[in-house]
Amino acid sequence: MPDSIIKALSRHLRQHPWQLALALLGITVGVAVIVAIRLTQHSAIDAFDAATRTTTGPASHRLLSEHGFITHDDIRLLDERFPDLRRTPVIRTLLRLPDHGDQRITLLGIDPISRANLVRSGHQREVILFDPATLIAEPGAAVISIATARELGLDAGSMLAMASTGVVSRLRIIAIVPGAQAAGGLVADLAVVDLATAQETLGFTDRVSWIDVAIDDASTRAALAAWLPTHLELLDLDEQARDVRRMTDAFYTNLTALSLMALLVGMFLIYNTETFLVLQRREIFGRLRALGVTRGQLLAAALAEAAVIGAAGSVCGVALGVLLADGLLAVVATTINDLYFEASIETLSLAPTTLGASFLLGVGATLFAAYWPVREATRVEPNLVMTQTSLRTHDIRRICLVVGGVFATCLVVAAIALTITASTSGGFAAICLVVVGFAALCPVVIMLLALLGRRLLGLRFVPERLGLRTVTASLKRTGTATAALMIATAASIGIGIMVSSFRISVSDWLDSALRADLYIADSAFDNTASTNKIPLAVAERLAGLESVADVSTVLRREIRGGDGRLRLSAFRLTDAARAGFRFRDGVPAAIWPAWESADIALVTEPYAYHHNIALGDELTLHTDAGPRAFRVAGIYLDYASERGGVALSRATYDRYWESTGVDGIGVYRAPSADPETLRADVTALLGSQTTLVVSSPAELKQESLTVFDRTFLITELLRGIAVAVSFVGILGALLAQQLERTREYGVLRAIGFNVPEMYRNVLTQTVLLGLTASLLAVPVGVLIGVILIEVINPRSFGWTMTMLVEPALIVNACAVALAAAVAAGIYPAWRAARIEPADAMRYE
Amino acid sequence: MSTPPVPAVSLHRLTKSYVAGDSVQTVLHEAELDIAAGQFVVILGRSGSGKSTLLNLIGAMDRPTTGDVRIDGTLISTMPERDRTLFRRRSLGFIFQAYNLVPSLNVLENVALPLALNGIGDYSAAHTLLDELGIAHKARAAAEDLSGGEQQRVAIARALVHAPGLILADEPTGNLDVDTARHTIELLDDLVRRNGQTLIMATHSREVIGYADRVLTIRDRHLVDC
Repeated sequence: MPDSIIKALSRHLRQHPWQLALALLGITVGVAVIVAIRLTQHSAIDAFDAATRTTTGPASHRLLSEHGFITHDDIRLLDERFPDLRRTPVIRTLLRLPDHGDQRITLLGIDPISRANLVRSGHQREVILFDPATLIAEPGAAVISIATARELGLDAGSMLAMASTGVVSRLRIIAIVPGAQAAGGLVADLAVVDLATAQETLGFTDRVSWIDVAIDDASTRAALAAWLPTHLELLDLDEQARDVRRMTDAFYTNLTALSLMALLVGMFLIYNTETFLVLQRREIFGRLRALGVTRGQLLAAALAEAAVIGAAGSVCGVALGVLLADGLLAVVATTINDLYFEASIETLSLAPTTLGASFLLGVGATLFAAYWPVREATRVEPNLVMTQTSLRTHDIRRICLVVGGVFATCLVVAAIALTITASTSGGFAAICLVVVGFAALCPVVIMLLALLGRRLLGLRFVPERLGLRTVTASLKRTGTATAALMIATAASIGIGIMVSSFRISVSDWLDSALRADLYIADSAFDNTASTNKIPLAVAERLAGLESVADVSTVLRREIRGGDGRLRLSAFRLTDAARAGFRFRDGVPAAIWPAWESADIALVTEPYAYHHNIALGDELTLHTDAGPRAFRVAGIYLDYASERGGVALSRATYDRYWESTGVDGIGVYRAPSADPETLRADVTALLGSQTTLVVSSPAELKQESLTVFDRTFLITELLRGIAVAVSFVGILGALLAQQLERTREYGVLRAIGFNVPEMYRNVLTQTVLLGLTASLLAVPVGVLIGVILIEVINPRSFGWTMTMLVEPALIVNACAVALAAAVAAGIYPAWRAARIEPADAMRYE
Repeated sequence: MSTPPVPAVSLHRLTKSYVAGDSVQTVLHEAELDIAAGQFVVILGRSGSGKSTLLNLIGAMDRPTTGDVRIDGTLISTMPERDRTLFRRRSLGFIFQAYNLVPSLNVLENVALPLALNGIGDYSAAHTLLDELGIAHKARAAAEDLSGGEQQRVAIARALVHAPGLILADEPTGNLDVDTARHTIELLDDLVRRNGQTLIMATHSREVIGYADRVLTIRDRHLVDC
């Protein structure tokens, strides 16, 4: 390809740097959002790995007990049967820090000697950054990370108070080590102590939380699995890590889809800019063609230029994405901690593959968006390229036919994608097709609205009528910019519908489920540890209070099921609590009479979805007496966890498992007592030294909804970014149009358009664009909402929800679109009004 | 004793300079001129001599560096922007070399634009002019689908439709072939004379001289009679 062709095209760009900047902006923002989302995901996973590494060291498997702890007898039996097994006992629990408000810290008790021997072939020996001898020798010695020390204001030698079941122990910080990213470092909010110190702090000496083992060969693993007593379980830690990744994948799939939406909007921006760049260089194209440059050469030169722009924009996008990810990390960290696992996500992980893939995606998207306008321009005969004053001589009927065809095809393919696949990808593909189909309608709707507007305005309102004409004549630019704004608005509406439907479903569920007047739980409740249970006696004493009519209880624990571990809830339910269950499948009249006497189980909706369980199926649970089948009598709504769980009556649980207290108590007020009396009685009974927390249903609901809102905060941020990108799109389209029409605006000024009339002319155009985007965004947004609620959410998490379309949400989104469009028109209008007719005449 | 008629156009010590980098370039220096109403005045000169600048100053599209421009006795050179716009809208008609039709409007809409701007809903004047200029059959055509000669006739119609007292034409035949150019000038001359309008035409074509009442030129930045 001759250099002169490249020079002929690129010099024009250098003379119009703001157009270049606009194209770069579209790519930069699109790539930045994707990079940011992927990097936060990597950082979360890395943090999880770091937390796992800190807790488990180089262990490959974990021995757990159904009872929630492993006794010294279990360890003795294990050592007798497997004397050469590399194993180390661990105690892990969450404790409150009485000197630091409600803050909690994970206490990790290890045996430094056996842990040092925990070596796996192919794995490096664990690095230790403190003196293990001091940890063992000095009672109450603890090691924390720099981040924890900074947060709690501690130095080496400081004392740290920890509370366990009302008893406060004081630990001395003997070493402060770097964060988990460094070899041998620790995650935040964790204190490592010797096993004996942990036992002393927790008030027992005969048990540990679990035993970590390092197994290199399959035969040892098989032998250990075969030997295991029924109450012990061998957990594959690698498999568990994969489970966590799988769980977070669904969360990130949704975020990635949103970021792709931002890229799609960015692509429209690129297409828009490229179209204008082609339009502006039409004469250069024509002259080069007339001089004998082939279509292929021209296409190659223009695409090479697009690739360079795409590469530059993608580099900027990657850099901006890293900055954005750094800002989003705190938001994502909170959500991950709320929903999936507790890990301190402090440092951004710069994954090279993500950065590289995002760069290539940006370049590819640019080439794709640039190809179409370039191809169109190079296909025109040289004389036409040179003489046509614009590419606006559309055959309207042809456009309508093409648009109608694209629209119908997209909707049909979307319907097929939804019906033939059961994956979330099918749902996202359907959303993309719906969006593209409706985006294709933008030019036609602009034309129709402009026609309608002109008819309504009649012969008066000349600037407005002319503005409507101008938009129609500039569909190539205004159409794509409007499509970008429409997509952003539709995404905003669709996601808004999903979030508000989800929120109202959660809120309704909480209203229904929280039937008691007060709830009591342990502030140090650790769902995975099966420790810190509230003694059943507490529930019995509460039931004996005069102001209490009845109590319900729940025990939560992890047990083994037929296909892996599951979260079991054992309920003692009052009639009111039973009424709070909402069944998707199953009839309450058939369930409750058999609830306590028969071996029946209820499963949550997500659990049923993930494990493909239907009403009447048999569920195998590992009881203290061995595996036992329970019939699924109902599938109920539960938004507490996307992993879901299984529920039994407490009576059923007690028939097969050893009783170990409860995790939550629901207190029902006697008719004669008032709420204040009830709370006072309950608080007095529990005493002041308790770690038990008393909450009202309203407080629990508020807390749950706060977590919910925090989860969707990142979604809101992404919606805002998409709208901002489309705002820039409209601004760019109008500025580009203005540049193209400088002479025309000069003529209007010359023949007597005054400044307000120029404003009216340009702002009429933007109002029409905003109106078109808003009108189309409503059906598209609702469709996106329907697909998210009916297809993607059930397929990702197993949750069903009631669809709620709030008029205020739609009005707000449309108002934002209209405001963005009008705001984007103010500067071009100001520039148009300032055009000096004499300058405009000289312009060309 | 009757007072002398007010000139249609009066220039007094009119100077226009442009700043280009560190230097100041004067295009027109202290021009003095009175043009009587109803005259056809031609301003001859080479490209870049300052003809367009002079028309822009007379047409209230540009401000002089110093000096006055009066149209029908009204001082327009010091008018605020808003008043100059209204003045152009009501009292002036422009014809450009590149026609400068509004591409998004059809022929009739282009011609009727000044009427609409002046709040005149009756477009019969536009139809009449299109008829007189022989392009009534193209009234609904897109402006850019017309030939150069036709587009210039549309531009002439647009300049005359609201019956302004002064018509300014900047190289109106510059893009036309000889025959079309002659025909266009004849049409324009006929129309402005019939309506008693003043026409100032900037051109480098000497063939127009035959139609003019007065011929001026810009020589070394000075406006002089030929």
